[in-house]
Amino acid sequence: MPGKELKDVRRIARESGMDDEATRDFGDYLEECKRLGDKGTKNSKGDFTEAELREKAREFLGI
Amino acid sequence: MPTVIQIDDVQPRSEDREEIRSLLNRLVGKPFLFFKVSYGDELTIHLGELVPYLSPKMKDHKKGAYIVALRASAWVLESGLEPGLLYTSGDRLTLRASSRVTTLDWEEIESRPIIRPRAIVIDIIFEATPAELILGLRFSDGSILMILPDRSADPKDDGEEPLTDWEVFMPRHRVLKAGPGPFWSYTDSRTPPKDETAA
Repeated sequence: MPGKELKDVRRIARESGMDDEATRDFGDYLEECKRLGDKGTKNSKGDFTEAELREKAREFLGI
Repeated sequence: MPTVIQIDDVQPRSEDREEIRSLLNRLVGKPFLFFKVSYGDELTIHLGELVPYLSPKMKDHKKGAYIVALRASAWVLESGLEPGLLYTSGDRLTLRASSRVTTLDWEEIESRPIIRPRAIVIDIIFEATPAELILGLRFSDGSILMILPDRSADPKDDGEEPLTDWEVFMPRHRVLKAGPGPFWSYTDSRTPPKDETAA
């Protein structure tokens, strides 16, 4: 279902203290990571598991 | 006389159709920059001038000053460059018998010239019903993009608040969120949200 990944990102972004603008940019960052071959292990599309999203959030925020 | 929301105002929750229309009218006159697929197969349309991302992680990329984010909504795009050809994410519209209909893969929509670069948004198509807010953009090259809320794409009973149907990020850190239902909000995009839905 297309909305599942969007909700995952929203939840992890909020946990990480991101505002709406940062959350939008975070979504673009995740897609860019996939494009560059830094893919997740959730499925064949390279989406990220929750643990991987949390790691990506830290990476995005530089913490 | 309808109230016009100033760009720095906020409106946490509303059903006022004239106010949201006045906000959407800010898109008129803005040039099309590009489509971008964001994480979760979310189509976004970048308009206006190019601006930098705030995150150092995206320092090599630019985005539009205005971003229309389709969340999990369905969409239909009639290309002005290929008259009679409709691109669609789903089958919600009853399509004209004379139209050819096709779907695009996510890489193709970013690379293929579907809307002429710098084509101007010349009109907003907006329809409010008790169930949803429908947005369309008409471009100067004849292209028309319609955004059609699709609640079936939003997982239910997962204990989370529903997704909005579509959002428009604007300059001065403002975001317009539409749906679910006829509700919308216009808020500061730098404030961590407690509840994403406008309802």
